[in-house]
Amino acid sequence: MKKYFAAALLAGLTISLSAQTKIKFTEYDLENGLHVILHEDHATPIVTVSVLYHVGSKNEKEGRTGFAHFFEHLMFEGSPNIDRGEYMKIVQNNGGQLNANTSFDRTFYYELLPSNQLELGLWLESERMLQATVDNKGVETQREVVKEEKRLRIDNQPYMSFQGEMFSKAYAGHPYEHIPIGSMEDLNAAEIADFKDFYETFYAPNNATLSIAGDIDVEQTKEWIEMYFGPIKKGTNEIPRPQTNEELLGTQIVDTVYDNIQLPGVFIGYRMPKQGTKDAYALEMVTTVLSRGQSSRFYKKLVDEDQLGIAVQAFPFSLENGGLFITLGIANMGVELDKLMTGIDEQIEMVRTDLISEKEYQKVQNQLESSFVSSNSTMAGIAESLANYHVYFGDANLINTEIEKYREVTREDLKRVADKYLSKDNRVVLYYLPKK
Amino acid sequence: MKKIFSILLTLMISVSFAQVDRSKQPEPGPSPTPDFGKYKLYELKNGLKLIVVQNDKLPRVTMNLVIDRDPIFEGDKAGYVSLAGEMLRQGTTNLAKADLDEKVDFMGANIGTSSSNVFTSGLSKYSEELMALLADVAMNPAFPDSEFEKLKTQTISGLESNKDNPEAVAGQVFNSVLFGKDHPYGESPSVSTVENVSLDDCKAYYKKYWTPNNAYIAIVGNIKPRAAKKLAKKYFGAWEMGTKTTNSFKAPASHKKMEVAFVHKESAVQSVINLGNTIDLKPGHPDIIKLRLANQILGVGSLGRLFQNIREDKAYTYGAYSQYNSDKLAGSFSASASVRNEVTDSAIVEFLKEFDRIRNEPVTDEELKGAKQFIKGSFGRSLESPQTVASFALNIQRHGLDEDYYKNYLNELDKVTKEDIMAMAKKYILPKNMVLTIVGKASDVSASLEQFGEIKYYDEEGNITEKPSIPLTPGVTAQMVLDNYIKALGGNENIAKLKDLAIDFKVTVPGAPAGFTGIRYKKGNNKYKFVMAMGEMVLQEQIFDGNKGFLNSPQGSTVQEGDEAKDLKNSALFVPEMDYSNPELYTITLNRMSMVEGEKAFVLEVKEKDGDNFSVYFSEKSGFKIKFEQIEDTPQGPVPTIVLYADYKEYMGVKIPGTETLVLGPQKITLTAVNVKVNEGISNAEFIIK
Repeated sequence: MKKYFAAALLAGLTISLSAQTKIKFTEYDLENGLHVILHEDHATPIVTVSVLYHVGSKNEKEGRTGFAHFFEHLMFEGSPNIDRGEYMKIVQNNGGQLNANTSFDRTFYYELLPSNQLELGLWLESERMLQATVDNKGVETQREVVKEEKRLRIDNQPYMSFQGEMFSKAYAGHPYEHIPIGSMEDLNAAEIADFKDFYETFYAPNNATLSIAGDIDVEQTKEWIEMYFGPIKKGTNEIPRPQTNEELLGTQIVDTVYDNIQLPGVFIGYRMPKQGTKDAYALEMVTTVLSRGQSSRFYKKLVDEDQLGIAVQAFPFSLENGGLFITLGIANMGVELDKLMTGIDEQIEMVRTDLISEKEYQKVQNQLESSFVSSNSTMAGIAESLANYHVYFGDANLINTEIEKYREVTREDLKRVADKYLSKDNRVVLYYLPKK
Repeated sequence: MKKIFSILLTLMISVSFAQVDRSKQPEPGPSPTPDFGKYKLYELKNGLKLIVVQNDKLPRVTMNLVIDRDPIFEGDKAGYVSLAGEMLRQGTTNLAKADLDEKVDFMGANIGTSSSNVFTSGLSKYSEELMALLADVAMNPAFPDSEFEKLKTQTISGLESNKDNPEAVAGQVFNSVLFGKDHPYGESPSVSTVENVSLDDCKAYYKKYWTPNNAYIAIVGNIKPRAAKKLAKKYFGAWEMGTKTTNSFKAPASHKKMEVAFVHKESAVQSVINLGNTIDLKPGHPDIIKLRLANQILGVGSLGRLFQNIREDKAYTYGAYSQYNSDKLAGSFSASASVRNEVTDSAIVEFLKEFDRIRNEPVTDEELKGAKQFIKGSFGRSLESPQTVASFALNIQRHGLDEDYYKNYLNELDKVTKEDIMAMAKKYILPKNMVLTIVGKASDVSASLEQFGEIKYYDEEGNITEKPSIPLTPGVTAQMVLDNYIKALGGNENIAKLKDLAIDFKVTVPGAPAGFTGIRYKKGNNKYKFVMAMGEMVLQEQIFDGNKGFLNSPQGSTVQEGDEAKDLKNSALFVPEMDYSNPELYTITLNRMSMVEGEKAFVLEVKEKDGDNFSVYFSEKSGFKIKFEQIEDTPQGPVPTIVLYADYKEYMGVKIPGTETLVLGPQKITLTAVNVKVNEGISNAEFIIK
C-alpha cells in the first residue's frame, strides 16, 4: 500500500504545470521613465494599484538611517489636493484598503479597490509621486508614530532585536549594516531639506514601477495612466545604487544578548550571495530541506525526537546585493543552549558533507512547486511579484518561469553551496539569554 | 476649413488630456456586481455533506472537514476537547506520525487538525491522495500514548507562558466574568484541569462527536464537483453513522450593573481594557447587517470613532476597537484597547462616552455612507478567495440561512438608515450591563477605577482573589511612621509654635454650581470652628469652644457635651496624630501597605479607647498623611468615609495640605485652601456658641 502510494505520487509529477494559467501582462515605459505593468483579470471586480520605488534602507546616507521607512509614513500625509489625514480616509470610504512596506531594497505602496475606483487609485498614487506634502508638521507627527512602531514591533517583542544585532555584525561597513527602522537619533537630527532632497531623488518616476492587476480595461487604463502620471517630470538627481561585495565573512563572530525572554535562544546568520543567483536559489532549497514541514530535518530530529527546541528554523533572507541564511533555535524548557547549538550544527554539517537523498530532493522540488503555484493567488500578490521581478531582475516574466531556476539546481549543487556558505567562518552567532 | 476645425478639435482633446484637474477626486465608474460563485451540495448515505466550489484558476485544492456540534462544557477537565483535536494530527492506525508527515511534505501539501476540523491543501493533481489522507486522519486516529504525554506537557507550558501575556489573560478573564465560569463560553483550561485529562477523555470525545452525520467537507479549487463527490464516496463511504448529541445551556445571566474585574500584573506598563455585554443575536437575524454598520462606525479600523478619539485625538493607545459576535447560544458585544497605566480611567471614560453618543445621537450621513462603502469593499475583496464562497455555503447550511442570504446582503446594507443605527446601538450596546476587565498594575491604576463600580480582583485564570497587597517595608514600626510624619510637617518644635490657624477654602462639588466656600479656624489646640456656606447662606457650622461642641445646619442645631463632643474636640488639635502614640488614648498597629493615588503608603490602623476604628495612610516617600478611611456599618452594608490629603505647603515652618477631598461613594467634595493664615490672631468671639 505504502509503496503504491509513493509510486502514484512520483507519477503525478510527470504532469507538468501546464494546468496553471500563465499570467499574462503588458509592460511599457512612459516618457518620464515610469515603468508600467498591467495584468488583466476579470474574475473578481477588484483592482490592485501599486507603486514600487526602488529605494530602501541601503540607499540611505550615513547619519540618515531610517529615512526610507520614514518616507513610507510621510507619504500618507497628503498633497496640495489631499488634506492631511485624508489619504487613508478617501481609500477606505470608497471601499478600498491600502498599505505600504519598506525593505532594505525597495518601498512598496498599494491600494486594493473596487474596480470602478481604478481612476481614484491612479490619482492618489500620482499625487504621491508628483507633489507629496513634505513639511515640518508631517515630519513631526510621523516621527512620533515611527517611534511608537519601533517600540511595538521591535523593542517590546522578545528576540526581535536580533535583526539589528545580526545585520550590524554580518554586514558591518556595508549598506546592509542597519535595518530599515533605522536610528531614532538620525530621524531626530534630520532637517526638512534632507527630506526634500530624498523625495526629489528617489520618488521620481524614473525610479518607480507602477504595477496594476485586476478587473481593468487595458486601453482605458493606459489612457488614465498617461493623464495622471504622464505630466510628472523625470528626476534630475542621480540615483545612488550602492553595491556590496559578496565575499564570505572570513571569520566567525559570536555575541550574547540579554533580553526580556523566558527561554534562551540562538540566532545564526551566514552570508549569502545576492538573490537570483544559482547559489542563492540552492541555499533557499537547503533551508527547505532543513525546516519546511514536520518531516524536515530540524523539526523531526531537534523538535520532535530530541525535544531540544520548541522551534528550530532556517530561512533565507535574500537581498538585492547579498543576504543572510538565518537559522534560529529557541531552547525547550530546561535544555542547555549549547546542546541545542550542537544539535543545529550537526544538522548543518550533514548537509555540507552528504548528498541529500533522491527522495528528499524530490520532496523539496514538490514543496517549492506548491508554493510557487500558491504565490499567485491574489491580485495584490501578482501586482507585487510582477514589480519585484521587473525591478530586481529586469524580467517580469519570472512570475511564470522562476520555478525553472529551482529545477536546474542539482543535489550536488545543494551540497556544494552548503559546504561553501554554511561554514563557521562565514557566520554570526547570537546567543539570547534571559535578563537576570 | 473642415480639416482645420478637426485638427483644432484633436488639439483640444489632447490638451484636455494633459490637463487633468487634479484638485478633484475622480468619480467612480458604475458599481460592479460581485459574482458569488457557485457551489454544489451533496449528501452521502451516511449523512456526510459535501460542499464543492470549483475554481480552476490555480491547480490547487483545499479540503476542510468540519464537525458541526453544540458547545461543550468541560468542567474540571477543561482542555480535553482541544487536546483531542491535536491528537488527531499524531498519526492514524495506518500511518505513524512520522510517515504521515513524510507523505504530506512529499506532496508539498499541508494538513492540520483541531477539535472540530481537519484541513488539508495541496496541488490538485494530488486530489485523491489528499482525500485519502483526510479520511484516514478523520476516521482512524491512533491516539498514541507517547504523543499524548508530550502534548499535555506542551499544553501546560503553553498555559504557563500565557499567564505572561496580558492580552491572553484579559480575554480569558473577560469571558469568564461575562458568561460565568459555569458556561461553555466562560470556562477555560488551566494547569490543574489539563492535568486531569486522560487519553480516554480524548477518545471518548472523538467517538461521540466525530461521526459523518455531524460533518461537512468543503472542497474548493481545481476539481470537478462530481469528481470530488466520487472521491468522498470512495474514502468516506465506509464511515459509520453515529447518534447526534445535542447539548443545551441556559442563556448566561445578564449583569444588572457594571461589573469591574481587575487582574493585577506587577510588571504591567499598559492596562489591557475589555468591556462589553452579552447579546441575544443568532446567526441570520435581520439585525446583524444593521449592527455590523453600527459597529463599523463605532469601532472598526482606523476610521472608527474609538480609534479616532482614543488614539488619534487623545493618544492614549496604539489602537481601540469594538466588535460583536452573533451566536446560537450566547452572543456578545465588546470593545478593547491597551493603554498607558496613567490614562486607564480616562480611556474608559472615553469608551463610555462613545457608547453613549452612538446610542443617543444619529450618526452623520458621511459616516453612514463611508461605512457602507467600506463593508461593500471588503465584501467584494473577500470574494477573490474561493474559500469565501465555500464558507458562505457552509454558514447557509449550518445556520439554516436563506439560500440568497449573502446575495441579498449588499441590498440590505444599502437600506440601513441612521435611525436603524441608533436603534441597534440602544439594543445591543448596554453600558449599564457591561463587564469591564482590566489587566494591569493595581497600584498604579485601581484606585481611579472605583468610579465605575466595586472592583473585584481576579487571578490569571479568572478566580476571585484578594486585593493585591504590597509587602510591608521591613523594619518599619508604627511609631517610626508617626515620627516621620511629624518630621515631614516641620517637627515638634515648629508645631509647638502654632497659636492659631485660619484657612479659607474653595469647595467644589462635581455637578453642583460653583460658589461654595468654607472656613476652618483652630486656636490654642483646643478651639475649633468650621463653616461651609453658599454665598450668605450657611449650610453647615461646627464649633468646639474648649468644653462644648455645637453642630448647626438647615436641618437644626445640637449642642454636644462631654464624651459626645470628642470628635469635635479632636478636630481642635493642630496635629491630632500626635496623640496616637499615647497608649491610654489609642492602640495603633502597622501591618500592611497600600497604594493611594499611585503613591505607596503605610496603613496605620488606629483604635480609639472605647471608640471608633479607622485607618490613616502615610506616604512612604514624603511621610505625609495622604488618606483617612473609616468604615461604618450601616443597614445598607459597610460604607466608607474617605478623605484624601494632597498638595502640602509650608506656612511658618509647618506644612498644611492644600486640598482635602472627601469621598462618599461616587460623590467627591474637594476643599482647596485659598488663603492660609498662621498666628495672625483669631478672636475668641469666633468660638462662642450662641
